[in-house]
Amino acid sequence: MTNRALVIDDSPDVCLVVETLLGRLGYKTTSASDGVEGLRLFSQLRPALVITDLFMPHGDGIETIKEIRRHDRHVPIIAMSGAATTMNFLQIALKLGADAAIAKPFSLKELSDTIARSTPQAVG
Amino acid sequence: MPPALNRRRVQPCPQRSPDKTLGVSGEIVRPENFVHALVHDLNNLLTPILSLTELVRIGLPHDDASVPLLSMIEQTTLRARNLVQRILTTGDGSPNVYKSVDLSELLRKSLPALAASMPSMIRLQHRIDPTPAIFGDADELHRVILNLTTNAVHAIGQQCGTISVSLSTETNQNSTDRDMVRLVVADTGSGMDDATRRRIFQPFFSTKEPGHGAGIGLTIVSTIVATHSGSIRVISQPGKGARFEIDLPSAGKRRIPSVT
Repeated sequence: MTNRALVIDDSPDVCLVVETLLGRLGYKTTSASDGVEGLRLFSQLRPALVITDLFMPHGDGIETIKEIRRHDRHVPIIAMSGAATTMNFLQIALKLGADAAIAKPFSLKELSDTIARSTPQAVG
Repeated sequence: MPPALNRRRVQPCPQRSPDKTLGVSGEIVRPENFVHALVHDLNNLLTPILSLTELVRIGLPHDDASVPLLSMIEQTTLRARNLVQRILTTGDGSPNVYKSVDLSELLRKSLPALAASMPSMIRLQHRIDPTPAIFGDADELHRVILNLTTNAVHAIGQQCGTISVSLSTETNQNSTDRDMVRLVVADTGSGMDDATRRRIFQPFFSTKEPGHGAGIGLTIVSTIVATHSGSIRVISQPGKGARFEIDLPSAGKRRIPSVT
């Protein structure tokens, strides 16, 4: 079972941070800057965990989640958003097939807890 | 921006019909899209501050002199996060509350203020039938009305035009399913081609000039409609305006008496 995680976010800083946090949790990471690239990497790497932003200019996270779910019903998907407070995007993500959702910004513990909720056999 | 959006009509504005028209001249102030985009970007900026500070702190010995300072950065960032989140909430910042909502009453309360914020060259007309209550969040449904009418104002631009808002009941004849409440917002603006129509609910898609909207207003609309188990469709052609039809399931069969 691979422990690779795929991070999808159009912000390089957010990708770097999430990859760093995931590294502390024992994951090997790969990042994509949009949903299109994310789907390509998902098909290529078959990661054990996907963490994707919802708001991206190219290939938004909602479509990305739907597309991944079409091909893989089991891989844990965590949706994250920086504008999720009142707009129910996170709830939408859950309806579309994400296993958990987290609002940016978040701490290491918040991310760790979220991963634990979505992946019972999470690494770390 | 498609060329049609820049086209101005040369004919004079028709006179407003007093019995069907709301509103007076005013200034358009629609910061909502900008605010959401700003909040999104602010939260992205706060992410490395919060997470990386925490990582540095937990890598230090507990008695390191920098630990209290780093904790202060974390606590300050968390306060900033809460402050940013409050921008997106209304009132006391409480989460969304679903309850029985009379959309006709909501419209009657909302339309005068919306009309007052529209340019004088735009006429707002409405037909609000008594409809069944729906189960939803009144604030979010108000946002739907606000975003659709704002979108209509932008589609009409600096020319004369009409925005029509209607509310009716679509009776379900086929089964025991609930009746649907149909909200329609139509405009006489520039309209759109099929390629544009297919993309208008995508985040950050906009036909407006940079600085005139983040392109998430209609994304918010479609998301709110989806969370209310509703559907939305758009009928439009270039130069022939646009018509947004939203169907929302009623909370029950019983009709609500007309608000007069």
